[in-house]
Order: sequence, then structure tokens, then C-alpha cells
Amino acid sequence: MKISLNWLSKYISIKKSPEEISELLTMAGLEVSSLKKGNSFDGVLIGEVKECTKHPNADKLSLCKVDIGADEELPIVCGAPNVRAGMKVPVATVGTVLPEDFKIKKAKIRGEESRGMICSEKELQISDSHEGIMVLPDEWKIGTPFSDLYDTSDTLIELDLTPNRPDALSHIGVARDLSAILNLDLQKPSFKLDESKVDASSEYSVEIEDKVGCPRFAIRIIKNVKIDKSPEWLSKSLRAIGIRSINNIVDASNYVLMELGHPIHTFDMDKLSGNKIIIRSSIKDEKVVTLDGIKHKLPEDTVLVCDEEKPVGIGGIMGLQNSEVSDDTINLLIECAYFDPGKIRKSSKKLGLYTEASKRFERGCDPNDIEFVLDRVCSVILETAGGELSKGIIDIYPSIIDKVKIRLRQKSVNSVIGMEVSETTVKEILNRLEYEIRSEKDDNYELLVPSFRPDVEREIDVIEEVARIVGYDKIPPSEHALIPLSSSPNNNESQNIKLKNMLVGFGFSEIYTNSLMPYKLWKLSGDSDEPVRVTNPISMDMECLRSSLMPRMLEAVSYNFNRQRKSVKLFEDGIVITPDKKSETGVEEIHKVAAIIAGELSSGNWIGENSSADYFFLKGVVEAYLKAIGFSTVTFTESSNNSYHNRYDIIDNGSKLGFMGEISQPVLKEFDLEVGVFYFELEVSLLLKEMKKDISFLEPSKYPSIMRDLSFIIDDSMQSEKLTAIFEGTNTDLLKSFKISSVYKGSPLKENEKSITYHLIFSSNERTLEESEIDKICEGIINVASDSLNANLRV
Amino acid sequence: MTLPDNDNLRKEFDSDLENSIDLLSIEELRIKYLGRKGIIASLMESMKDLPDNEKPVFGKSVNELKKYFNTNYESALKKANSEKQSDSSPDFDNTLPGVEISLGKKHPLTQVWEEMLDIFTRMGFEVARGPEVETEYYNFTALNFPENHPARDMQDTLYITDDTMLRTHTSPVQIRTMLSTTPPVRVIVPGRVYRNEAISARSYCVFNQIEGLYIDKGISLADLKGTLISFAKQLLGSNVKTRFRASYFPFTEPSAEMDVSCIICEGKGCRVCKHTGWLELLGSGMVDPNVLRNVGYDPEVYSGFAWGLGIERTTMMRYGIKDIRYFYDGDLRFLEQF
Ligand SMILES: [Zn+2]
Repeated sequence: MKISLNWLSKYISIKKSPEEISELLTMAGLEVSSLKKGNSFDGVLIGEVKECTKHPNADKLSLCKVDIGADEELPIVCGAPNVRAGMKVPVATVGTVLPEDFKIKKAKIRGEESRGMICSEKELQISDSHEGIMVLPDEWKIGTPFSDLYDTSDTLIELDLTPNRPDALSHIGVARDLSAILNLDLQKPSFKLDESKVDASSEYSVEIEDKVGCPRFAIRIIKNVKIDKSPEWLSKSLRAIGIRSINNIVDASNYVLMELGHPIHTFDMDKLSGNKIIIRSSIKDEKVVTLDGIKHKLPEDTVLVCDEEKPVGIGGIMGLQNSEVSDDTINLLIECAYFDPGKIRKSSKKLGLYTEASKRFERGCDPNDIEFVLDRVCSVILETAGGELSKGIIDIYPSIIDKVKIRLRQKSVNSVIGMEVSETTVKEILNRLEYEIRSEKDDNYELLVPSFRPDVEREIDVIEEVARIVGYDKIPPSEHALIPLSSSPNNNESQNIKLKNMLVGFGFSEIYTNSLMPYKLWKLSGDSDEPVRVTNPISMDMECLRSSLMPRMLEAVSYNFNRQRKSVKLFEDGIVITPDKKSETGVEEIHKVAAIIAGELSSGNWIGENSSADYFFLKGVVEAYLKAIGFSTVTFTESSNNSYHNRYDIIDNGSKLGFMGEISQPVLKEFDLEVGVFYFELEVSLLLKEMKKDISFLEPSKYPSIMRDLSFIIDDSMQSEKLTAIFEGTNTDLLKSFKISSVYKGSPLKENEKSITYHLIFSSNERTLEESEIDKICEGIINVASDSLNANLRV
Repeated sequence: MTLPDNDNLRKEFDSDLENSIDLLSIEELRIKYLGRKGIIASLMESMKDLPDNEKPVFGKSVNELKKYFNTNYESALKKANSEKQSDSSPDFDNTLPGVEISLGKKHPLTQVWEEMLDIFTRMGFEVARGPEVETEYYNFTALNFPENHPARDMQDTLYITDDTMLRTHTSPVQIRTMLSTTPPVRVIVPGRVYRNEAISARSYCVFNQIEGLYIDKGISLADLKGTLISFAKQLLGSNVKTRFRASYFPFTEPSAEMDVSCIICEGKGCRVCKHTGWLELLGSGMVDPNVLRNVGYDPEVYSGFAWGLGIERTTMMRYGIKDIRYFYDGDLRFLEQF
């Protein structure tokens, strides 16, 4: 909503700067999003373009000769497409300083002299329009200072209003809030209205069929008006808030709309058939052409304003072309009504038609100010277009919408706000905001809420009114300490942070990726189900919800490789979503953590070789990660998915923690990636569960341990786990740990052989071990390996 | 009888030893005399060709030599090591970089969230989380969004079905939490939320919110201010100024937006704060009695406040980041700066 401070001053006299007024409004909930102060435009004069020819050296420029009432015509080079000879224009003469310190100088533009500038509205900061130069009325006198004719001293405030405040979509509404904040009187517009002797009701009648959609509908009739240009005060007022002047009738209803906030529609009475207005619901497939010349197929149940033959307006949204006021209109039928907010909203949404009228009706207009609004608009029309006003209002209002009654307790005011607000202050505020205090006893007030405030329905709503007018800044912040609740706070969260810290320690950087993606990208996750889809996506690129973190992470890998990164290690922690008919929301949401790695493991070290990421590096990360979390018996089982090569499920005690693998070539190709990319994904809830388990502590041994290395030669095709199983199977508690320390192939081994070396550590908590007893255990292992696997010790 | 030429070997060793002044030459010394193919090893090797009766004497002699080499080598090594620590040798180039060890980085949004979590944990708030796909009831109805009301337009919704959607805010978790808890309630709720908005420098269809809720007996606007001012000062520094202005949210009444003094210009006015000196930090308000009633709390007994903020916006404000897309590109050049 745009508010002109000059206009506002008609209703309230404030001795404060525009900045102070903005601040007051913002603090009270009418947020000022911009403030444009007036400008005197010294040096900008009215000029007339006498000649206009093409610039010899530039296609888009024109050479103009402009008369500004001086001895000679000024040569000006102009780039606007709309400049023509004969136009009246604002000319910034040499030496003028336009807004934003733009100083006009004598110049040569592509070889042609230019002394001054013809200005656009944007250059004068009148509007954002930069389409072309500003064209002024023909009768404006050459050489007059622009500011003499064009009021530029006004300040424009733009309000970013919340949807609960339809009343503030008007100058009077904003003035009312200010009158409460500053405790000043509000002057409502006053006017006299002369009626003719003809009874309106003898000429016309109104019938409401759709009483739900239209609870109230009223008309007045003015005859013999003269359509003309609006007087300067009227067009100036509208111009100040960015509305173009059309003619005295259209301008009058726009003016009253912006003054009082209640939309009005004027019909050319002679274009209406019969002498009755009927308000009904639209039927199926009804088609109409609105004022802007656009054809609409109406959704069913749209409120229609009709004459005795045809629809003439979409109620509360827009009038139709067939009954529009035009230059030869003589008799007017003026409508002011109250439409059901929900119905207007539905229709305007379905039609995709958002107008100044629908904006107000869908938020809720005042059903009880209709007589005043109609009288007001008639007074403006009579003043600017003459004519005779028929006597009386034809007003159909079958069931009166009562003002809301609220009981307000002084005690509640104080307890919600958290400080004492005096009774006098409460009453003053409520009076200024036009609440009617019906009665008062024992600190309780019986209130009637003004009907222009549909959002105020309960005691708490009134308390908010008091609080915002008093000012939130007046409320002293409480300083009593909050005492923690008894339960254990944020255990999962701190464990989740640890999960991330570990990956950071492994050198992975965290990313956040978009959980919405195109189907094509989703498909790369290799999941067999269908994705969960958004039914109204922003674009098809945001249609599917991620069921795996992989596709977007792979995209991030490629993003970095495309920017000359040679080493990429990333992780993400987030929710993946898959269909699940049984759940409340139809989906299953799983919290995952995933990591991805590609390229060099460290880039550009001067010591030693740089190795590249591979499967076993990632497996090492997975093993170290899970071990650090607390898992000790993780196993890997082959699993298949087209998007991966060497994909293994990660299992602990029968429960699947996640999986790891190498991204398959076809998927990498989608991103033109030429390096191996390795990925794992784990389910966070399972990791957190493990982290919460108690640690059982083992006393470290006081005695020295004994180490042995055993190398076995086995068939190349045999998996190491078979050999490993033998170590696991030893029935001694002296073997504390073992691991594979090397795998060897080649001479002097045979072609189809490999040797695997295990590093063993033996110790006891009770005594120093004898070499001979360890030899014996090793012998046992060697025998089992030889017997069951035909694995021979390599000596 | 064949014996090793101990005297000459000792002399040779002594003269080599004299020249062994740094670790490298000492290592060369070790290899020459004590290495696998060194002089001692070759003497031992040559022993196996001797007649058996000569072997013990020869062996003894080699051992003496070995002992001599060893003792002198070790003391030279010790000396060189201690010299190295006290005085670098001239060929040691400390200007070379260390072996590159890279730690990863947590995402800036995670870092800011963890900071907020820390602040609110100290104030006694617990964390609650909820689903990203929500029902109409939790996302709107229970939160007092009237049907067919422009308030629902404040949040452009992405629908999954007619009555399920991607949550437009973390507020549904307020409802879920209150339904499963008896007051007092003190929670913060982090999470992803979704809006039907085209991606640009200033908006993204996915972003992260933190929501807070505090319900108890006798909670007032003064408590809301106290808590949130304390939060702002802990997050942005004790010099930060705050202001509360009236606003509107369907699920709070009265509602307030909290501004903090612009951290770029410290309130003097700049482009970032649109010359107002203020930046919006969060939306807040007293929980609407309808919301309390919807979860079975008696609004005459209990009251409380709620607030919410966008982590992206706060992070952008804090570091002067002008494009929200940086958070979602996964660009390491961006992420590694935090
Ligand atoms: Zn600033």
C-alpha cells in the first residue's frame, strides 16, 4: 500500500518528520518498506520538443531542439524511443543535480552537442518507469519550473502490510493507527450531498440471490454527468501514489478506494438492461469479458453482478467490458457492496485475477461503512463531473453483520504484556482505534469491535492492539533465569554433532544439497521404487524428493571437478524420503549420513607419491568410522544396484547400517566424470543407538605382549575372509588382535597364488608369556589352515 | 690361521667416523660397516668357508670389531641427533611446507546452528524434530491458519497430495511436541522447510529454520523479550541493539518481529539494512490461545511464546553473503572459508 503524506495530512496533523512517521508505523505493525522523500528539482523546466531527427552516428539516439523559453532552442541528444516533436517534457538544464548526485553537464554525444537532458519518471524518481521520457500535459507552459506544476514535495511511504490488516489498505486506516499512537484527533472526510427529488428506488431495484457470497449490496444513481479530465487536485493525489489519472469518474472511485479502503464500482447505467441488479452465483462454463478485455471462463460459484439479461461484473473482483464507463457515458449506477472474503479469495485464485478490489474483499472490508462510502464517492463525482444524484440509497442487507462483542479484562492485559498498562491508557487506545466501550465494571470492559477489523475476534486480539500501540519497546524484558528442565537435554543432537566431527576429522567437508530434483537425476540413485513427487513443482527440475543423498552429492563432486579441484571429499547429513502407504503422511523419512570421495587423496604433496581414492580407502574410512562409533562386528555383504559397481551392504549383527560402493561408469558419464567416485551411506538412528551403548572397559595388560607375523600362500581366487575365519576361530584368549599386514603376488610365488601376511599380537593380563606357548598356538593355526584350506606357511 | 685385519679396519672406520658429522653421513657409515651387505656381514659370510677349527677365533675377532663399530656409531648418532635438535644443519630447509593433512569443514549453516543449539541448551531448551512431509492439519489447521485466508499465501506450499505437503515451516513440530508433552514445554526445533519459490540469489525453495517454543504458567511478552534479547546478545555480541515491532502470524497473538542493529554498519545505515540501521532477525509472538486449545492446553492456565528464524538468512547477515545459492552448490572454495 502506497501512502502519500500530503494526503494523510487531510485526516491528521502530525508534526513529525517522514522518518519519524515511518518508524512509528513500522513499530506498530504497519511495516514501511520504502520511503521516498520529495525533491524540489531546481533547474528542471517545462520544455517543448520543436524538432526531432535521427542522430547521424547512432541508430537509437535522436537529436532534439527543445524550447525552454530561453533565447535559443537547446540542442539535446535523447535516447528515449518515445520522443517526438511537439511533446511537452521535463528538461534538466545544464547544472541541475538530479537524485543520486547525477549532475547534468554540457556534453558531446557521438559527435553531437547536447545541452541538457529530457527526463524519464525514473530519473526524476517519480516512479520506477524507465520506458521512455515523461510526457507532460500540453497546456503546461514552456519555461515554467517543473516543481511549480508537478507537486514534488510530497513524501511517499510504501507499506508492506500483513494479511490481517485490510483496514490499513487506506489512508484513513493508516491515519487512524497514527492517531492512536500519537493520541491525536482523527478528521474523517466531511462533505455535503445534494440529492434530487427523484427517488432512486423508483428507478432501480436490487435482488440478492447469493446471500452467502454477497451479504450486502447497495447502489446510488447519478444522472447527467459530464465525463472529463479530473481536476488537478484529484489527478495529483492519485499520481502521488502511482495511479494514472483516467477521467473524473474512474478517478473519483479510485480516490475513495484509496481514501477509505472500500472498493466501489461504477456502471454506465445506459448499458444495463432492465432496471434491476441481481447478484447470483455463476453457473457451469459461464464466460465473461472483463474490463481489461480478457475473456474468462468462470469457475462455478463465482459471485456475479447481473442486470436483467447478463452478467455485468464479477463481484468484488472486476467489472465487465459490456457496462464500462466510457467517454460518452451520461448516467451512472454506483455500486458498493460487501462480499464474502473466502468466496472472493477462491474465485480470484481460480481466475488468476488479483485486483485492488479483490485484495481488499478477500481480507475483509467493512460491511457497515457502505452508506458512508457511497455518499463519499457521490460527493466527489458531483464535485468533479456534475450531475444529479437520485434520492436515497438502494441497500439490500438481509441479515446485519453485528459487531463482535468482547470482554476485556484489565488483569489479562497486564499479564500477557508483562507490565502494568494503566486503565486510562487502555481506554484511550481503544477509543482512538474506534472500539466502543459499552460498559465497565471491576476492571472488565465490554467492547464492540469496529467492523473494519475482521481480524479482532477475541480478548487476546484486543490485548495485541493495546500492546502494539503502547509499543513493544516499552515492555521491560524479564531477566529471571531459565532453569533447565529435569530431562536430559539434546543427547541425540550432541551425538549427531560427533558423527559430523569424525567425518570432518577424516578430511570430509560438509555440504547441503537441494532435496528436490528432476526425475532424470533422481533416477541415478538406482532405486527401484518410484519417487515421492511434488504435485505443483516450481518447475520439473524440482519435481522429485531425494530417496538417496547420492545424486546431488555426485553433482557437487562434478561441480568441484569442473572448477579445477583434483581432490574432493564431501559428506552430507539429511533426510531421504520414500513412499510408504502405511504412514500418516504417505512417506517414510530416514535420516542418513553419506560421504563421497573422488580424485587424489591429498593434492600436490612434495613428499612422496600422491595416491588416488579407491575402494579400499573408502572401506578404510567406513571401518574406522564405525569402529569409532562403537561397532566391533561389522560385515559386508554384496548387494546390487545398477548405479554402483562393487556395492556392499554394511551389516552389524544382522541389521543393515547402510551400504558402500563405487559409482558405476554410466552414472559417472552423466556428469562427465573420468575418475573413480566412491560413496557410502549410513542410517543415523542406528549409529546414534550404538553411540549410546555403555563402554565396557578392559584393563590394559601390565605384561609385555608378543608379536608374530604369519604368511600363508593360498589360491589367488580364495577370499581372505576364509583365512581370517581361522584366526577368529582360535580358542585361546591370548590372541588379543590380528590384522592383515600385507598381500603379495608374483615371484617366487606361482602364477595363481597369493600370499597373505597376518600380524598377530598375544598378551595376557596375568603373566609374562613364554615364546614356546605362542609357538604352539601358531602351530595350531598353521595346521588348521593347511588342513582345511590347503594354505601353506610361506617361509 | 686367517684373522680379519682388525687394525686396518679400525683405522679406516676411525677416519670415516671423523668425517661423519651429520645424520646422513652417519647412516652411510652404518651401511658401510654394519649394514646387511656391510663389512661385518661380509666377514661373517666369509667365515663359512673357513675350516671348522678356525671359525670360533675368527668369529670372536669379528664380534670384537662389530662391538667397536657399534659403540662408536651409536655415540656418533646420539651426538648428531642432539646437535640436530639444538642447531639445524645447513641443508635442512624448514621453509618447505609440512606434509599436507586436510581436515574437512562443517557447513556454515551447521556451524551457526550448533552455536544456536549451544545457546539454547544453556537456557534449558531441548531439541525436537519432526517430519518434512506434513499433513494439512499440522502445517496449517492446528496452527490457526484460517481456511481460504490470505495467511496461507504467506507461505507458498509444495503439495505431495491434496492434504499432504512439504512443511512450509518448522511450526508443525510445536503441535506434535505439545500433543505429546504436558507443560512446561521448552523446545527448539531445527529443520528443513520448503517453499514454492523460484531459485534466485535471495530465495531458495529449500531452507533451514529454527523454531522455539516455551510454554508455562504466567509467561508474558516481557519473558519473550528477555529470552530473545539474551539469545541475540549471545549470538551477535553484547553490544547488539534490539527492537521489537508489531507483526502478524496466524499462530501467535500478539506477534512481534525482532530486529537487531545492522552488523555491517552498526546501526548507522547502509545498503544491507536499506539505510534503516536495522536487520530483521526473527519472528515471534505469544502462542495463540486457539493453538493452545488445539493441543488440549487451557489458555487460561498456560501461556507461552514461540519464535522462528531462517538459518540461511542469519548466516548471510552475519558474513555478508549476498547469494543464498552458495549454501547449496557444494562449492569447496566457499565452504572451506568457514
Ligand atoms: Zn547497515
